[in-house]
Amino acid sequence: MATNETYKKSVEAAISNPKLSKALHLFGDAYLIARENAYRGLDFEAMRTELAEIKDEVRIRRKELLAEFIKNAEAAGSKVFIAKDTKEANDYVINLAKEKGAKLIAKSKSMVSEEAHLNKALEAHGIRAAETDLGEWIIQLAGQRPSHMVMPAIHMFKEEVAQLFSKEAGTYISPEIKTLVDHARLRLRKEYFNADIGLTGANFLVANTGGIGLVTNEGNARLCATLPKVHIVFAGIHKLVRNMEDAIKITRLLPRNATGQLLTSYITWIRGAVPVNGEQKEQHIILIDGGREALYESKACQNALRCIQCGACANVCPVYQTVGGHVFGSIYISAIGIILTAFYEGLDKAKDITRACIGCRSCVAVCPSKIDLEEIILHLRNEVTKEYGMGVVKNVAFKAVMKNRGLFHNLVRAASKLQRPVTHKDRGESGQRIIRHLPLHFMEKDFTEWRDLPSIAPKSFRDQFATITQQVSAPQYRVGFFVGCGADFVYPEVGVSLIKVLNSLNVEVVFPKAQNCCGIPALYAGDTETGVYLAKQSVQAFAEADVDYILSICPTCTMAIKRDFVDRLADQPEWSAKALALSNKTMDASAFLENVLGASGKLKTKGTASGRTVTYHDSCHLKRGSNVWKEPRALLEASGHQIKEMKNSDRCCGFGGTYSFLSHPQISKQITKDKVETIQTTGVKTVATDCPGCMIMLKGAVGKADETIRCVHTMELLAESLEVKE
Amino acid sequence: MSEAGVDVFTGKFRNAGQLPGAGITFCNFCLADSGTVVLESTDEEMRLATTLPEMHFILVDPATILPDNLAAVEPMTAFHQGHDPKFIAYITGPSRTADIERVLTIGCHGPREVHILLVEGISSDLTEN
Repeated sequence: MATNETYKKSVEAAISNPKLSKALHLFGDAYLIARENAYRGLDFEAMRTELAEIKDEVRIRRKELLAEFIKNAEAAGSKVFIAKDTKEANDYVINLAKEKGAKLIAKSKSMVSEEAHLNKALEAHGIRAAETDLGEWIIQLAGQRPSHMVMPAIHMFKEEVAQLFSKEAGTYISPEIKTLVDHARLRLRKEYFNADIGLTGANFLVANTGGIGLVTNEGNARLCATLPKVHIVFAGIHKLVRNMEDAIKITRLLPRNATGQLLTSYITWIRGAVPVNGEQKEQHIILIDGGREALYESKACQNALRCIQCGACANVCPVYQTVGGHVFGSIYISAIGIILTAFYEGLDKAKDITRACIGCRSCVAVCPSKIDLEEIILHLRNEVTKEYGMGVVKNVAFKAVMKNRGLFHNLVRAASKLQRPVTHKDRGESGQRIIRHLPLHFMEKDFTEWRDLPSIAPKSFRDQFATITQQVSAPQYRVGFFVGCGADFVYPEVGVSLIKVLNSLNVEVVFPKAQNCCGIPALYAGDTETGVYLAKQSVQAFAEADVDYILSICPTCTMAIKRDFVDRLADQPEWSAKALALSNKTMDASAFLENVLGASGKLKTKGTASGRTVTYHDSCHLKRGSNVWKEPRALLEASGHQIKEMKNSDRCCGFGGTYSFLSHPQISKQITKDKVETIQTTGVKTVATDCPGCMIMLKGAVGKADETIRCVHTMELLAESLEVKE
Repeated sequence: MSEAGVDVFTGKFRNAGQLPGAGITFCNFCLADSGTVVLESTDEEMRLATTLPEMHFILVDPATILPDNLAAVEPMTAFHQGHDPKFIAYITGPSRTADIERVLTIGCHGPREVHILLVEGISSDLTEN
């Protein structure tokens, strides 16, 4: 599948706008600090688990809760209309406006009104919709879409805003932020007084009171709901909650997660038709389906509707920080945007952005509703591949080659020999096993411009295993080793190091030869069939091994075994039990060493590390997939190393598997650049990590930037510390 | 206040102009952990007094300060018994925005300043109008 040309161009344009990326990076960093402060003294995990439960119950009881809401709202004087799609919703507003002879609608923020392109629909009927939210007004003047859910104009700078305001006002407005905000206050004030209708969104619809809640900072929503004679509420049906307590619990999470505020300046609770200028107001509540029912019905994706629209998934996303919301999204942006675009606008509109997710799970870590966004995005990617195919290269690589284990391994052995002319001459040394420059006709020309490529090891781990003598007289445990392609073919020394360390702690290692690639490259590209086929090969290989645990030194493989093997084989009874058994025994090697063996208290180090300073890079799948990050640090310190933390140690290295090679090398490059800079800033000469994928990226990019910095797997450092210095 | 030379408007607030100088209100209760003031403001004059002016003065009886938002569940639920229309406002400081270059600017559409005056003995009834 060729990537859409327009999309490709938009990615390139965004990347060549460093000002935007810098602004988003600064915001991302400031946001993390503000958020941490806001949650101090609170248990975020407990709060989000509770919110997930509330939202799940709302989903299950939604029909009943909707009926309750309508009953209570109508009893208080509101009129409620259920629109099956955005067109029906728009038509209701247009008809009501015409009935009232209304020419001006004062609007406060409503994401679903963006979905509906409401303003455009109104304008076609001669009705002006005046945006009163500052960010929304700015983009309305610019004729653009919002690029963030909470800060729609985050991509614009004060000079542009000043130009827009000056043009609209017909006089010069200077580009000082305070001046611009004051101008907006004055200029928009008349709109509330002149408007015939005020239109707001709703952050929640409270079933047992029939009222709505609005969470805002500017004060415009209160004015839109107070001054005009008619108030329209324009909201998605997923905003329902059961009662006041649910709503209040959401307000404890939403401001903290969105902007790091304890609470926004205003939370406004409106029920029924409140008084206006001596009369009773007309309040119309329009509740919109627009694809939400279908999303609720999708077992794989339904959790996405737990979303409380805080925007945090964008704030922490390295891809969003690189290209912004206009590229990485549509009406909704970043992780949640991929999912909502697929359901509200159609899979074809979401096609390109499902592949733009690098899979780092930073969003999953901060989601206040505990949505496993990455898992849902992977599912959608599968759907995209089913619809649109995968492209020739991946088809051949996965279906013709990888599934045939013998063929795959022979090809790799052959490649190891074929690559000799382009590899560094000292390729025996892992640090030198790199390809500096590819012959020009191979792949895009800037491929090695910013990072060296890894080269295949002269002898794979699986070919070496037979020659390794293990000296374990009375083993405490027998463990199986799932090697993974990275350690098998590129960095076999990681596997060799692991055996050394385990042997020294009285553990014997078994290597079932029939194991194959974990299948993640195929699965994440949407090739479920190959993924399942590969999973079965490894599940069978380990089912036949008599071991206490199964260890992996690649966290992506660990996730594959623990999550994906089990999920993909769940519907095949003869396989699902074996997959579950394999999953239960599998652990990341660092976690096994520390949590099962208590290795940091037992390592027989020889002092060779002698307090060498290392900095540690947390792999995405290790920290946010397996929750392992304390263990490698404990082991490194126990083996005589000193750790100097880098800034944002758990921010993605930019690898993302085929992301950096095939689908989004340009975005990858920017993300990796950030990582290289933070490493260089530490001044440390050794970077440790627990993932061969990260090693490929770090060795390549850091190596290109500074040859003296060594990138290495934690297991290698541990093994070295056991050796006597010569 | 009139004696002190302040122009006090006592008519219908809609006629007080689009940018009145200040609004003065009582409040029902407060939330200590976020510094929030909660006002039952179904009456339109209340809402206009708190949304339009440049400054908002709020008289708070310390006996009505609750620890946090969870403690507000009870009075908020009590407010919504029955089917009367209701407009309850949580106010935490002045209005603000960070929509331009994420720079926090205090004073957007709502009041630019909020002054809280602690006065004992006004009323300890949280749901009193």
